[in-house]
Amino acid sequence: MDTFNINRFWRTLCWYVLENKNSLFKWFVSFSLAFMAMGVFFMYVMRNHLDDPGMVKVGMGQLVAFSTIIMFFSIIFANCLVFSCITKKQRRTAFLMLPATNMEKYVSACIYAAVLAPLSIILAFLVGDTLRTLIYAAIGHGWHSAVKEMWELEGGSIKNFGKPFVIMLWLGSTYILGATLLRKAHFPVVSAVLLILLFTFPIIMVKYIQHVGPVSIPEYVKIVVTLLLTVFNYCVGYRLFKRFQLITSKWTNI
Amino acid sequence: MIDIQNISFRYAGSKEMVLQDFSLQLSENNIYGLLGKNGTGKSTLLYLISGLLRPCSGKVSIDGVESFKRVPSTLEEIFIVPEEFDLPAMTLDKYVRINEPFYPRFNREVLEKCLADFELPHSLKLDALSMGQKKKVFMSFALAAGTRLLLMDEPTNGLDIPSKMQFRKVVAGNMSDDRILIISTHQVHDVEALLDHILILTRNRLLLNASVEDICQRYAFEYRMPGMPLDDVLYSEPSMQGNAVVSMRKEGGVETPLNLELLFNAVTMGKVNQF
Repeated sequence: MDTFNINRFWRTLCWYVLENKNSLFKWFVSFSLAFMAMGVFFMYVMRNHLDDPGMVKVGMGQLVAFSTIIMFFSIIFANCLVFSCITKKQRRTAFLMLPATNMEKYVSACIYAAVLAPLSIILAFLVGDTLRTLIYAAIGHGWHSAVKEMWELEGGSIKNFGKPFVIMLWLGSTYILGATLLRKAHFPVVSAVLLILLFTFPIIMVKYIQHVGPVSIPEYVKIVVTLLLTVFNYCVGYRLFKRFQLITSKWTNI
Repeated sequence: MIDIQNISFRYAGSKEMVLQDFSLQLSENNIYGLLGKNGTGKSTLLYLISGLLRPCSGKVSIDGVESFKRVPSTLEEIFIVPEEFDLPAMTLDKYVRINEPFYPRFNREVLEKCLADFELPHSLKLDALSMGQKKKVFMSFALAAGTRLLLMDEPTNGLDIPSKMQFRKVVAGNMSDDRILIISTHQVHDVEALLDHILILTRNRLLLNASVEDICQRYAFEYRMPGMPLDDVLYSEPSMQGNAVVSMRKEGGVETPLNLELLFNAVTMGKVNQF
């Protein structure tokens, strides 16, 4: 009864998504328009070279790279929205009082922030770019799709995407942990902490190598460690969520 | 059913304790009126009972289960109607469809009857309602949820005069033997006729914890014209009808209806404390 129940979890997830569907829809529409506008801007810059396939390929490559960066940061930012809809006391009351286990509520919120919000951004890219492609094709500038370009990237196999995906999972879980602990400013705070780690970790590694000698860590070990860190982040996040209160200090959720 | 044992609570960042070594037991088939001056911790107590806040020490348990654990079997039995709440931008029907499955004893007939009593139609867009209408819809849902514990914080705030009467009718018509209703309010006249147990809270402690029956058996609430003797009076205050007074009820004397505002003033002034 008070353990994880799949039916109740499904109901909780539906509840969370339905309560937030307007935000999700606004995200989707805004990103679709932004990606379309970005594509239009790229096409405008390349307006004199649209007949040159080589130049178009270079331009599309740049559009893909730029869109990927935008998507990456947006998806990371989306993870920070894990509990943004319950910042208000009224919504927080409704969510915390929902008859479901803490685990069911936490997993629902994480799925919303780590899966559904990122999916809406990816979908927005597909829609925005397709719209831009259709408009340009309709006015006689040919079929130049960034989505197609992205699909046909050289070396774009699952194997090559595995490592970035795992890193992204870990990054996302870190931002979720930050957003679970902190009531506000989670994105800048977590980013600052990550930057500090990014600068201090190589220094520690250099010191370590000076002592022990060069180390070679197999790729799979790095991936397993990253995955373990991801699980750790989610577990700590869950423990923090269990301590959520309606009224807390200005900065933290517990 | 509700057991509050020696709880102490203060808000994060505050040095002042809202409740200290506070204990209280609440049982079924009662409508409790929780009264107190501003800032005495009425809403905090409701949040602690519902598990939305965690006491610094002591524990609050409902049927033996600590409320802050927020387990589904306990949450299924609690519904809180806060003073301020938000309803999502959707139709009432959709709202009911997504929330109903969480409450095993949810009763659509009760919902429809409550809405009818509040003179509201069944098909509503929640974001198109006024604050008072939203409150009526939310209270109807709360009563239809069939939870054994219902907590209401200032339920009559924002309701117009006819709606306050409808509120009393709806609540009285939906009380059952296994239910506890706690109403925290300043609008004592709105709920006076409903209550059967009074809790008056002051900083950190309970000033009064007594049933309406006990209060009325012990004390008399009446009006005395100017010039009438006041020597047996425990507390009095001037009013349009003369002096509103609280006195010890005489043996064989007629039972008078409870004047909650007068009782509250008398208790908070320390004039009535024999329980």
